[in-house]
Amino acid sequence: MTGVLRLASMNAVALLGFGVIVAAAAALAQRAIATRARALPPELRARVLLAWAVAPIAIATALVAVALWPSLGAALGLAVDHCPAHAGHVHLCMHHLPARGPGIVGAIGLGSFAFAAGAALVWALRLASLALGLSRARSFDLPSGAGVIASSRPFALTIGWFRPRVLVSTALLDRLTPAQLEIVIAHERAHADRRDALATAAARVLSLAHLPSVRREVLADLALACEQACDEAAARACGDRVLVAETIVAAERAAAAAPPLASPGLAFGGGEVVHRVESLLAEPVQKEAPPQLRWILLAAGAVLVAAAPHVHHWTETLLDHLPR
Amino acid sequence: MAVPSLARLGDLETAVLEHVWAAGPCDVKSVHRTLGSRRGITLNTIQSTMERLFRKGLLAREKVSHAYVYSPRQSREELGASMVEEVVSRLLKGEAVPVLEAFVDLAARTDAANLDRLERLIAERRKGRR
Repeated sequence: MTGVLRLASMNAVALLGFGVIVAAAAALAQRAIATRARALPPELRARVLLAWAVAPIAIATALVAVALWPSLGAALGLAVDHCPAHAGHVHLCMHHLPARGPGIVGAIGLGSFAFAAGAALVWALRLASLALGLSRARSFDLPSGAGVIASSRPFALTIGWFRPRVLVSTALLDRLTPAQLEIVIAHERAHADRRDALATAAARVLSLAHLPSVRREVLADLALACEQACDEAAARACGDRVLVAETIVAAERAAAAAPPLASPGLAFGGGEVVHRVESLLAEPVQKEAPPQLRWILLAAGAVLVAAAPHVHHWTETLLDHLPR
Repeated sequence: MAVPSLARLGDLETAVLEHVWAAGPCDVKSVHRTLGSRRGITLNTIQSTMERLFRKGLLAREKVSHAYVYSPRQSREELGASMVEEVVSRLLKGEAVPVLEAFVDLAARTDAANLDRLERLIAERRKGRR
């Protein structure tokens, strides 16, 4: 194994180790975070939940970067190079590449990341292909710019990550009133403006560092927050929250009346519809991000930087105990 | 058979398919007269393109005299509908499709009792406003 690969495999193992620790801590904090998040207005809640979804991988990556900082700092001339003090010790250093590494564990770590990255790329390409194909299948465009697909299934959706496109079916056009259709398109436009599909896809991948049960909850809460944020946008556009609530129920009734699939497996979940309608019938929540948040994040960053030598040392100590 | 994808088509393939959808069954020469000469594309190129669309399952063909006559396997509407059903099937199988955001879930439904209750709440709210 060359020095670069040894360093990469050590970082991969460190990332996995930090990831496990942070995921366990996140599982303990999940209930408190979820409860506090539910009290927030949808737009802010969606941002908080997205940050929470990626927190384990982000924090683990930050810890690996912190563990590498003494070496980075030495390379940039900002810190003293303490490498000579590492005789006989596994060495996390970009300046002097390690002479020995974590061996089979490191290979497994690197291999896991390579596999995950490859699988994510293939998955992303397949989804992008689906989006492009569906977009091209539209028969014509409405004056609002929404594309129309001939289908007996009533639906409206926004598809695509970087140039999201609103699509509605002919069946939905037949079932909704013009006012309701305007609301649907305003809602979908909000998804496009917010790039919700891209955010959700990124959250799905990056939240894999959470424990599975936590991940399921976080992604479900995030999906609901995005829908409610777009409901609020539609309500602001039409000025009538109750009409938006009516439109959601009308669209759900229309979807329930759609022809069954050849291989039926209808899922009864749909809890989102209940939450969305009840939320629209209630008074809107007005709350902003706490002004101290920026300072809290800055303070956390400063603590991490100050702890860098200790994180670096303890990471090397733990890596030194791995079988080679 | 998997639904053929419109995503993997190049510009010329898309233009030829759109033309066949609009004009109906046609041979290579008639497509070249409309598309090829306008774009400075040779007859051979149009022929290769139509053969590719045939292999991709988007065009059917029948030999009439010495030439193939190509027709769409599915109309644009049928293809669009098939693609939508493919997406819904995937969702019902529990597959995530996080490249789209639907106004109401494409696969999961709210039960009728809850919808009735929501409609009553909405009606009460409307009454309360008057």
